[in-house]
Amino acid sequence: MCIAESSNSFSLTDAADIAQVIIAIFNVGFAFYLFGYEKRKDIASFHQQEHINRLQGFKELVLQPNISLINNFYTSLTKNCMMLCNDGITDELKHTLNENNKKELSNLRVSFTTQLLKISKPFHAKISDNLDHLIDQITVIIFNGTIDCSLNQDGLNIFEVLLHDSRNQLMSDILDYDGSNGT
Amino acid sequence: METKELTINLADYQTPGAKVFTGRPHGEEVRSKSKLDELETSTDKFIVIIPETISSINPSFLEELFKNVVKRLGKFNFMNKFYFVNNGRYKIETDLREAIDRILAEENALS
Repeated sequence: MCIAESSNSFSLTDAADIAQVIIAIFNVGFAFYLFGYEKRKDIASFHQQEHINRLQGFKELVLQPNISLINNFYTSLTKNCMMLCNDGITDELKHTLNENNKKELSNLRVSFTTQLLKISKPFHAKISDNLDHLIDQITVIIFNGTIDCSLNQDGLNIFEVLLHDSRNQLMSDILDYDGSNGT
Repeated sequence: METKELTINLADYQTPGAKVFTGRPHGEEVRSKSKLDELETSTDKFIVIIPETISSINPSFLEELFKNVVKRLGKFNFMNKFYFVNNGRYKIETDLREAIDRILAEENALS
């Protein structure tokens, strides 16, 4: 005598079928996850490569050709500022030296600073602000009162301090640049 | 047709005792207080008076002062619209050219 199985009972076969469906859904989900993960990894790798390329471009195409110009900029400014510390400096000489300083900045801008706009706007702004601030401070000292060239505890006069700080900041900003474009 | 003229005297924005105009913050302040950007659109000719006591107007100041009008007008139209009365020892032309070049270099780099 056969006893028919109840249609409501849950058999091992049913469990296996359900397990198979669950495993299939998991596999599809995992495949999508892997796809997304790989895509994110590719994008991150692409951006990293972009940073590397930009940094390399900056070093080889912008910085390297302009290292001597940057050094000359600070050397020229130092020379001009030392003349400002001479006794009996005339107004005429003050004007000439101030204009010379601005000309040095303009030359540096054309060859070096402006090129940074193509690399990174925030980086350009940082460098540009530093250099402008230096020239502006020197201009203010030249014209807005008596020039005091007394030495501080480190043996530096006011101009040397400004030039030293600006140069250090510039080097620091250049070394800190990581290749990002600032967006 | 009547030409609408406006005069800006930088002496009105001079820090007491100062003989120079420097720095972007000051340029921005003068641009804002003079309402230069707004007035430029309804003015045919601008006259900028440079005080005779001034010894230097640095490009950083000029760049910030004129950046919007230079971008809007371009170099040629700007030079045709803005006239500088400059009777003191200091002459603005070199610094003004430098400021305009900077403004346009930044504009071109972004385009």
